[in-house]
Amino acid sequence: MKFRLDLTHAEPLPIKLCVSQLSWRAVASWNACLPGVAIHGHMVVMAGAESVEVEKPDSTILNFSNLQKSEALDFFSSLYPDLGIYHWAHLWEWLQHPTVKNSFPFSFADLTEFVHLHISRDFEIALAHFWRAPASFQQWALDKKLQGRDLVALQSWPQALWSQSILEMIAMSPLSKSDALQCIEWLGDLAGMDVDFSGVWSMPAAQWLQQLRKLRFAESAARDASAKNWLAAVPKAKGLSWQWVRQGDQTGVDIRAFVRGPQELERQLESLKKLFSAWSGRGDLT
Amino acid sequence: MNSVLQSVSKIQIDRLFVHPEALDTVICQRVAAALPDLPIEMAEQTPLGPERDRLSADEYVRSKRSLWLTPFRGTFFKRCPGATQKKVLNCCNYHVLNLGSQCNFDCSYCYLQSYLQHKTLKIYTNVDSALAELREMAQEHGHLPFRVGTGEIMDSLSLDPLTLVSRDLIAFFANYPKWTLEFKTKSDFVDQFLDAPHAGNVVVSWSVNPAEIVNREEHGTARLAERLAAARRCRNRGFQIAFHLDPMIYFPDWQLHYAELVDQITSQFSPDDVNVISMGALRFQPEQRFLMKERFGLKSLVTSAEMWPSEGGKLRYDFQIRNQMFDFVIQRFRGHNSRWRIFLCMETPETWIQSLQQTPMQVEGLRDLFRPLPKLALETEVATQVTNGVQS
Repeated sequence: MKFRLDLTHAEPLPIKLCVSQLSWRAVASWNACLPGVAIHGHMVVMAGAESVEVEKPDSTILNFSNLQKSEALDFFSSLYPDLGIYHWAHLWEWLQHPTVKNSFPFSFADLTEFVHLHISRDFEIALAHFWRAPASFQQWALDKKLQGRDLVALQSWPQALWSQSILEMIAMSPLSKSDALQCIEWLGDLAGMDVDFSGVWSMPAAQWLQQLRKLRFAESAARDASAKNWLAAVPKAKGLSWQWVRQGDQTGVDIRAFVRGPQELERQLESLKKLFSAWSGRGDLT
Repeated sequence: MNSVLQSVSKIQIDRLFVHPEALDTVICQRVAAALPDLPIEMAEQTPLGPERDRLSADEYVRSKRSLWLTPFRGTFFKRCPGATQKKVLNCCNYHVLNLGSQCNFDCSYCYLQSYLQHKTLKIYTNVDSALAELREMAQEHGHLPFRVGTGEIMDSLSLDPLTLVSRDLIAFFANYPKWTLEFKTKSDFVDQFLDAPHAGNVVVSWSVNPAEIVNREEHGTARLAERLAAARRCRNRGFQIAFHLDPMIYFPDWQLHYAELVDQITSQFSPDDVNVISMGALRFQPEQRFLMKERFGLKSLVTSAEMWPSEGGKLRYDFQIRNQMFDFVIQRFRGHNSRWRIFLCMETPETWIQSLQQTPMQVEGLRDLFRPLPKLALETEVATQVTNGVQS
């Protein structure tokens, strides 16, 4: 059974008297009409509740000072049912602070156990690297609801990459979450392989992924480009189209035809025979 | 005996854990005798902390030097994992007998990195239970040509100078001449069993790669020349031998290096000496790449390789690259002698046809390897349970 917000357990507490504040942006699910909340004097809801004027230290919030560990865990996880890596990273840091550690009713480990969050290796890596990322990227991680496994590629980022403002650029770009994460992985690979990718940044963000892919899979990209050029030079009949495509570890010709009559079909078959001959002579493409 | 002691001295174990039930077993006594300076630490539970979803790089490295001797409660004997993907792969009816897990060698591409969760090497001490399992199976299938390997989730021989399990297995398989026992290794530790009487049904096989790859990617293993020398010693004692060119690695001048490897094999062995040559190209589970990068960086030929998702989910080289590599090696062997028996490991029918122009059932000398064998009693039991809805 979930904890019920019983106001008789709460007492008003001026923000200025809070022992500490868990400083993250409000989660979307937080109802704006609810008040700010503290547990044992530690403010756990800082914004999102419009009634809390956090900039005014004399504002008061509701403090639940008598919660036992299990009640506090239940209450907290009811407030924040959907935590991403952004939140976990903040919690990890906040709950380790000596002031909080000594007077807050539960630890980081208590909370992860309570919500059945398995501390995977990927999650550990994400926690370890999250704070190295610029604030804009942290905010992006919040907006995109990144989970621990999403940041595992940062583990292989060499120091040189961290000193550049790459994560900031990614956060500010219009890249989708999956494209951005793929960029992060390939950037780590390319840096580790000593491949120069600085030219990528002069291009529009929409081309970054494609350019990084060309660099990361340079030999395959060259082979595919050569095959495309070769195929483009093979004459084809009207109504027939083909292109060189890659599907995972396989490459080949995607052929489409629209036939309006038998004569056109005959011309297309002739065209396909020519393609067959041309392709048969390319041992490197079979 | 001197050479066995030399082998023992090459094995690097920092800590020795023993389950209380394993303490009085023959295996434990042998290991303790071989490592007299190492104190025994009793461990009823998995030592060095609970199992994890994925070990860190440090934990993984340490796991290769901490040995836990423990009984095994599950089934030792099963079909090779390749056989579970029959819809997409041609597989050779190989069966595996798992007498431990994790490997003290450290190959950059090792697939164990994708799923091992415990922080030690494990050697199972109840070998008698494993043999009892085999004996039961032999009552029904002793007349069929089962091929049984011990090198699926550990190297068959890299710790054998400590355990001497090879001798127990060779003696057991002497009772079942239709069956074949295969030790698959990257070590040169063979002297501990060379004098053991056998029924001619023991294959000692080596996973081999060009010296360049061995030196760069197969850390802690015997060098290529050492492996080939060990193979010669086995051949001279009447053991069948086999070579697995697996995983083949694509790198600059690969033709030169693989040609040299083939020439080294063909100059020292004849097709009559060698039971079979298998080939496979680099492949691994996608999730494994992160640990590989963490451990070996991006200068490795494996982590920096251009790998693509393939049917079945693993990352593989481009289909054409694989075909080129297989074709090159096959032609090189055939150029020396057309009688070399070569097959592809865990490859698709399309690749078979591209490389060998035949499926395995069409190849004389391989047909027997790929001919379907009856299901084991355990497999039938599981299948029945699934059908009856016992398992979800």
